[in-house]
Amino acid sequence: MNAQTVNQIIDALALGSVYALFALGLSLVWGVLDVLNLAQGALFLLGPFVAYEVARALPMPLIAVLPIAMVVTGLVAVVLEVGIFRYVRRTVDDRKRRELTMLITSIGAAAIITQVVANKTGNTIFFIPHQVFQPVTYAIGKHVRVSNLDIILLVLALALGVALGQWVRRSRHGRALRAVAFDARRSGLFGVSADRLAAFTLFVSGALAAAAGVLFSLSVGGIDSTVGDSYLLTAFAVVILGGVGSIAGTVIGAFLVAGAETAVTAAGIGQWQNAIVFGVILLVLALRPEGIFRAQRTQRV
Amino acid sequence: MGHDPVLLASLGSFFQTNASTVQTMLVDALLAFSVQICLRAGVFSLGSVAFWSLGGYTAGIMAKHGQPTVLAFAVVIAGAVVLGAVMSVALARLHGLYLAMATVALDLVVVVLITNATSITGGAEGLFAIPVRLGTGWTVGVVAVAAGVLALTERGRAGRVVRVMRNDSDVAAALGIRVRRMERAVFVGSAVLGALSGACYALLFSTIQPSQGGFSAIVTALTIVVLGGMETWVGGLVGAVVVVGLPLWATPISTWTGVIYGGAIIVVAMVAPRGLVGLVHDGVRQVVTLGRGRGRNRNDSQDVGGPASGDVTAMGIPAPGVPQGAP
Repeated sequence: MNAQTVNQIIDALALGSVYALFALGLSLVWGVLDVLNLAQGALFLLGPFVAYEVARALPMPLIAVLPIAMVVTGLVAVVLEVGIFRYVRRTVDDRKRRELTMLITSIGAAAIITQVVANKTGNTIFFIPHQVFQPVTYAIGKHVRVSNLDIILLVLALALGVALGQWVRRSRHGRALRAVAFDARRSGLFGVSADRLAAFTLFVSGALAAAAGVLFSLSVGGIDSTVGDSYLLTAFAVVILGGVGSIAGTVIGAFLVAGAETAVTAAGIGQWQNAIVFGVILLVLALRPEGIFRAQRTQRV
Repeated sequence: MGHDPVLLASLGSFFQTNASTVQTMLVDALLAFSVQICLRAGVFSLGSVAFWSLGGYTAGIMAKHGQPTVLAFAVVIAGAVVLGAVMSVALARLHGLYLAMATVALDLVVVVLITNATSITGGAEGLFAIPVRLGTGWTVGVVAVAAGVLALTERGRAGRVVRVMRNDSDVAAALGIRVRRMERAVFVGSAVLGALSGACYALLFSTIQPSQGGFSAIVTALTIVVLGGMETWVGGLVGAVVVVGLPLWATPISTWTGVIYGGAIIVVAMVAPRGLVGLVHDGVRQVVTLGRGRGRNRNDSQDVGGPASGDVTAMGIPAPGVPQGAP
């Protein structure tokens, strides 16, 4: 294996980490709450925007800025749940109509967040200030390079992925979460507060999207307000590949999609990678709608 | 003789601004129709925007190559039928959120494809100097025909079939409706309307850019449909007039359209799911009911708008042997 291939694998791992952090929230919210939250791309944008505003006001390192961005974005996601989704869940009985209403309102929320960020940043690329984080590239041997950001991304994605997976599988709240996903109404009879869990799920998904956005923004230098849209497409592919609601599947799916994209770029046809992503979505949906890694239950695809 | 040239010029520009506003309303109404017919039949497709872009580029490129307008429209419609049919087969197994996601993905990927096919489409800059082939009159004609077709699917037997499909596809199948086939037909119809809207846009405004498709167009189309109401074509038209007109009449808000539209979508979807038309309809019905003091009108009005929740309408399909309109 030559150095170039190794570098490409490192790139794919870093990219896959971003995808995993971003898509985990989408998958969790969809799997547990039956909400296809199209505002997830906007939350991915909001995270770096908060980091940018915070770091401009107070010069702080990444270790302080990242949690602030995650918490603020998570709280915005909680506002979506408490202010909108909860109301819809209570007032709309028909399932189809409820899902459609939540989808529509999430698009509205995405439009609001994106417009605010676009106006506040003057519709141009914005950069998280340099004192927040200094990327350092280490050389291994002659040609292999790895940056500290790559390492942070990979460690964070795997750690959060494993933590989330363990939490859902083993903890009391995780069990309640799965109960809600299985049957929200009946789980209420067993004393599970679906409202509180839904708010917490949205918080986690917003915080993860913010982490993905901040680290992605640092790794590419700067982003503009359109970034959420393009990554939403990729996140769809990841979620579909991994199986909706499956945490391990989502993480593995993220690395698979990132690997495929890196391979496509390496082959010199990088501009078609989104088309290939869409092809993956269609193919998986057509052949194996429950995802490559089957979640515990399959239903209504 | 004696005309003030300044006044004339300002009148001319006044007309021009308004002509393009009216044209934009018409184009957006067509796009809204395209979204409406899917959602109304319970098909969660947001693929209209993809067909808007494809139709617009097809018509624009053909016009630039000097092809006649009729031929361009024929190709756009035929292309939309074929591609819509192919996509509907590819998406046949999907329902609900999965279909919504796949069609949003379709919208996003079409933008990427158009941006990358620089040699044909002009890339990110878009197509310019497309010969203007349409006027307001012709566009009104296209919208009127589309509205007529929609009106036919809203009333009588067709309207009831569509409503049952939306409310419960199992019930629809049990009543002998070929749900799969109907869904495919709805998808193709939506594709044609979306493509027509795009074609009209390109031939009216002589330019089209890839960025006009994608997520922002989904937001606009949904705003129109949600605001106006998705039950009838009137809702699409009313929504288009409001959404296109609002930023013009209130220019200071034009930099915050995302916030306004987004907020409007959320509020209306939550508190008035049938949109402005539904609100007006309910208001009128209440006044009429109060005036006559009889419950009869409630039954009459079901054919027009359909109630917000579904259980009642499922009964609207006449059971075999029961005459239509029986209580």
